[in-house]
Amino acid sequence: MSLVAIEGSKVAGVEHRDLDVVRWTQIYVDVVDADEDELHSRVRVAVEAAAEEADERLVAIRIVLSGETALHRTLVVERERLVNELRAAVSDAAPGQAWLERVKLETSVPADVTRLIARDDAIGGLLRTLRALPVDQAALTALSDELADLKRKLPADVTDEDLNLDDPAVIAGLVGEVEHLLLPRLTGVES
Amino acid sequence: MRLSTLELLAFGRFSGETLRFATTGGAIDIVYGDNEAGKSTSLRAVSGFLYGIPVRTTDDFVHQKPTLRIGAEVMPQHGKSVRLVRRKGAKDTLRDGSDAPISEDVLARMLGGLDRDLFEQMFALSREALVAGANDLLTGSGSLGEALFGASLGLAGINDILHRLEAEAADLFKPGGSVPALNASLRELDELRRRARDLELRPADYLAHESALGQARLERESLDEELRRAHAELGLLERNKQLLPLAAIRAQLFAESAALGDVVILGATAREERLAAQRDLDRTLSDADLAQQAIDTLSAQLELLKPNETLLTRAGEIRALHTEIGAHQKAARDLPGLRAVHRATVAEAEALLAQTHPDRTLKQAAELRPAVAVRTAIAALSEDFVRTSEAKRAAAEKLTTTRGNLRRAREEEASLPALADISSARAVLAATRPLGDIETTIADGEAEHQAADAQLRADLSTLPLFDGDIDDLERLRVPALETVARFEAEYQRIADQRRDLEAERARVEAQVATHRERLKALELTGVIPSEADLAATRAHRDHGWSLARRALEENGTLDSFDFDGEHSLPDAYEISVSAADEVADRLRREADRVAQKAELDAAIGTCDGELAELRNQIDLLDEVCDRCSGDWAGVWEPARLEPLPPVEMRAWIDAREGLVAETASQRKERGRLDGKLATLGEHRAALTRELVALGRKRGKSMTLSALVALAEDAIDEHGQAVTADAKVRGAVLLLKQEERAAVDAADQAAVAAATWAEQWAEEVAKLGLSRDLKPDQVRAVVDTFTELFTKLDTAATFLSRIEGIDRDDHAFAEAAAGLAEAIQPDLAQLAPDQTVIELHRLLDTAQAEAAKAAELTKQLDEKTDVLREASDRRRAAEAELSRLMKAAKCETLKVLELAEEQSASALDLRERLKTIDEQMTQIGAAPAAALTVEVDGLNIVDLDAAIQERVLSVESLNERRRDIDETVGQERALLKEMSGGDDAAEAASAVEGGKANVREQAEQYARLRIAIAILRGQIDKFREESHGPLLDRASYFFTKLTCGEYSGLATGFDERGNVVLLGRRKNGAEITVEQMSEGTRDQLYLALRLATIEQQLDRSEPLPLIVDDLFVNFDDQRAGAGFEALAEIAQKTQVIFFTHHHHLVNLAEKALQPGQWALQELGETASAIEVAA
Repeated sequence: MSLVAIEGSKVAGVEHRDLDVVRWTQIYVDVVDADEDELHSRVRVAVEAAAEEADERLVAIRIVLSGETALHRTLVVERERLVNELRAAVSDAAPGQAWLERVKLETSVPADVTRLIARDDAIGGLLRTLRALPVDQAALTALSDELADLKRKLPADVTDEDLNLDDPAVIAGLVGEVEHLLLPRLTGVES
Repeated sequence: MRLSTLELLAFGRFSGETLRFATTGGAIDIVYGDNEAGKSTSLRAVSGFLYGIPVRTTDDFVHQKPTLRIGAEVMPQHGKSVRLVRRKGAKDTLRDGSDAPISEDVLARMLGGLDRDLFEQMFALSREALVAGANDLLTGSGSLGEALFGASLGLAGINDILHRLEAEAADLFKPGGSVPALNASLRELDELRRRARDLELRPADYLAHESALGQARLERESLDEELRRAHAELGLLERNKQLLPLAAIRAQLFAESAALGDVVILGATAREERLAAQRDLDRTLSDADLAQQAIDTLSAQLELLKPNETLLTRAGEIRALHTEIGAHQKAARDLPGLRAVHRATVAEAEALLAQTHPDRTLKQAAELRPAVAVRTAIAALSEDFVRTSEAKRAAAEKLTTTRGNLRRAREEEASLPALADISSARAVLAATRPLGDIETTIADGEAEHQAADAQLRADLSTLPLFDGDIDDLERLRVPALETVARFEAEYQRIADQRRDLEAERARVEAQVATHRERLKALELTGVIPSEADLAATRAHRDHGWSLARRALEENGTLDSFDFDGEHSLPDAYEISVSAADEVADRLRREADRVAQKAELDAAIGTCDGELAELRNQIDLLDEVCDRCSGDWAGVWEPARLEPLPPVEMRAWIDAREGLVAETASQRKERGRLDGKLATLGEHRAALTRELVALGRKRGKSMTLSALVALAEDAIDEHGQAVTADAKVRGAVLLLKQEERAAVDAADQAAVAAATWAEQWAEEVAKLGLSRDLKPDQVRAVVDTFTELFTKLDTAATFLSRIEGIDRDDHAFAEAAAGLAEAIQPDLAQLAPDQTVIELHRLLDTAQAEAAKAAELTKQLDEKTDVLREASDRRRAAEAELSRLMKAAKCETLKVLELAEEQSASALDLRERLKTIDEQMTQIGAAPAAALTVEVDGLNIVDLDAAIQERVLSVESLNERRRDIDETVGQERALLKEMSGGDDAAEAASAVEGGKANVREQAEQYARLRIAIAILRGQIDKFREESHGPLLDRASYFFTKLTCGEYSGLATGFDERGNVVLLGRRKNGAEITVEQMSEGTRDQLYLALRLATIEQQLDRSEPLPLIVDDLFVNFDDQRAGAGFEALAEIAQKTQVIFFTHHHHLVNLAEKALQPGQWALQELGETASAIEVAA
């Protein structure tokens, strides 16, 4: 927003004024070659930068973790612990100013998935199913029906934004993340 | 892929050991090692090699982490084997044979995308995994889908995974719940929204409170002004009240000052200075007296002390002698004992000398001392004597035994039979073996050939148009397929054209019919005049006119001309004119109908033309077709066949070609069979010849296999004879070598004995003894010599000590006497040690006196200094007193004291007046003199009354101020709350936070539910797709592993309708997984795993199966069955079985055939481990 000063019939000056009180920002953190300590450190640095940018305003932060990493399985299997720890890290980096809106995982295992998919066995079959599902409208609808209880309970403004569980594209996105959820458990990492 | 070696180059406790595995299929590699032998290390080495050594490995206790190395030779299913080395590190850890980095892809291709976890899960079998898998079967109540899916993945807990996913989902959300995280978050979100709504703005209330706040602020400002005024008045009154008593005191002080008159003002410290000077004077007098007294006393004491200077000068010598007194006295005590021991030792030496040389004295005995040096040589020669004697005896004995053995072996060699030459028979047999069971092959070939021939004839008889044999058929000159294709296309083209023309003709005929229908309908409404009708009636009219004109021109008689045969010419002409007009009129009136008719006529005419053209084209096409048929028949003329249409003839040609090809194939087969028959004959003849040559009996009609068996027997027997022959001849050779060695040994022993005798004579001569004395005797003499010289040496030592003591004693006595002479001569009469003791005592006394005198001198000096200083200080005090009296202008100390008192009083008055002035200035903020004038005339009673009045007024105003402050505060708080401010923003932000939380949890719940649905779907799909063949194989393995206790597996339904796995006992009873014993469940899970592994081996690159102490919990019979089952897997891929239970090795030996297993032992004694150079 700009403040325009008029003297007589002339513009005497234009001055930028920030009128917002909350900023929203998305930060991307590359976790290739990172362990947990390194991950926290990278998040802290990014959050500090975002807080400075927001100039003492409240800032809501969405963290997107990406890259092929050995940490992937831990991130998926212990997601809740991870989110809580990152919430604390964000709070430490900019006390009273920044809060964690959500964490998105776009990481992947450095595995040879192409060769795994080609296998004619249970694991290959599961992967092929997971890859085929996002374009199978009937299957996506069936999966959406599985979530009927949840849909009834969720407030409209939550589902209207980016969690419309009736939208096949949203379900397809979730299916994409399910691969990361299931694979580590089926390959003995969790046990 | 197989591992042909595993090289533990530097890993765990290993340094350069290599495990070599069977390189061909079908054998289980059993790796056995005791505890600590490195079995587990080897297991880790396999996955370390394939996938890299883990970062935090524990196998670095011998080799440093960076030096860890595991090598292996890897054989892919297709392609050449390759040697690779894995080193510990972050990158480039896979190396080729020359230690150059090599891409991980080399291994990854063979591993089919399986990472370390999946490989260990799917291709490693351990006892723990078996038990866990069996327990999971129980958890899942034997559900078929879960069992097959889990076994296929090698996953021990698929049911557990499903339960955990369900539990995680339930922890997040339940439709009717309140405790799960998402339910709680939703409730919290509602609460946050309610608070945010409460903080929203309400405009009317806000304006009212804003106005009230403004009013209250105005009122507060007015009150503040009043308060300021009241405080000012009250302040003035109170100031005057404070000033009034001070003004009175000030007047009093002025009066006292005037009464004092003129005074000399002294310094403020004048009195203290005078007193201090007086005190100093008194003190110095006293100090001087005391110091003088001390000096007198100290001088008297010093006079009495006179120490002996000579004693003090020689103190060093006296003390040195005193320290020697102890040693001197001890030597005096020891001397008699030493003399006695010396005498005894000399006596013993004399006795020893008498034993060997009674004729010599001790002094002469010294000549014998060098003989002791040969003692070592004598001892060594004594030991050599025993050794050489023993060697001589043993060599003689060995020679005798060896010669006896050699004689017997030669006798056996002489009795050996002659060996036949079988090289020819071996060559013939080697040539025959590759033929295999050629007779059966030929018989099968003949049968197949006959069947094929019969089939060929049957096929020929069904071929149409032809009635000859197969040779005729082959010779038949049939047209080329291209020709047939050309005619087929031509016929097709003609047919297409005819169809098009017929279709066109039908279309045009239909058009004509339509036009005629329409024309007919038009004409039914009345005759339609045409241009032709008009022309005709006009021509008729014109003809009437020409008749009429001619009649008029010629004779004027109209009646003589007949025009229409009915009427007279005029009438007829008139009628004709009317008729022509009528036609013309109708043509004009009915122009539309006329035009339609004309159009239809024209159209019909056109169509008729088209039809004629079409008919013409069809006729032409028929001619083309006839020509084509003629040509087609001409093409088949050489084959003398009446051809069917090209399409059918093409099939006919195909059938003929099939028959011809089959005939050629049969001829080739016949040729092969004939070749084989000839080969068979040749080999039989050759074998028969060899058997005759070897003198073997044989039947005339024996098969080739029987002949081969006979020849093999003959070769085997010959081989055994050769082995026996070689054994005997080898033994003779060995014994000859042994005999030669025994003769050499005997010679060497004799030489050694002679050498010894020479050395002995030489050494004994040095002792002056006979060479005939035995070593023991000579050793006894040498020992006596040794003892004698030891005694003589001891005696010499004692003598030396005795002489030393005598020397010391003498020197001590001389020194003592010298000192006594110099210091106190009468002491020289005492014993030397007593003299020294007395001198030492006197020295102590003299030194004490000298020390005391020095101390007294030091004190005297100090007191002299004190006396001098006291005198200086007295003079200074007297000067100070004079200075003070002079300043006060007085002559005596008495007058000075009075002047000091007057000066102090005057100063005190000045000080008090100054204090009062300052107090007044502080209160009234003006000079004291001015303030005194200001308060002059006021009185304290009036002031008190006025102050009381003002105080009450201020209190009243303050009370009103507090009320208005409260109002302002309340209004401000209300407005702040209503405007929301930070609270509203924070509440909105909290709502967003709550929504984010809900979204996060809802997404995770959705992911979990989707994962469960997909996993369950996939399990069902896998069951449906693969349960048939997989279950059959699992059933087979289960029967085997339970040694027939169960006849197989079956499926059934549980009470919820799920498909479950059942075991079928040999009596047919079906029992559930829950009803099975723990051991049987283990075997069921193993059966499922083996079946799924076998299926994967058929579908992907086979990977080695790594088995770790699997059968420890099995009884012996079932463990044996387990090894048999693994041997079947080993037919398809490499199986490496690690164990540290030797009884399992024994069980494998019992259960398996040689060739079905190979043993590798870990440890130092293992023969199969090669230690790399």
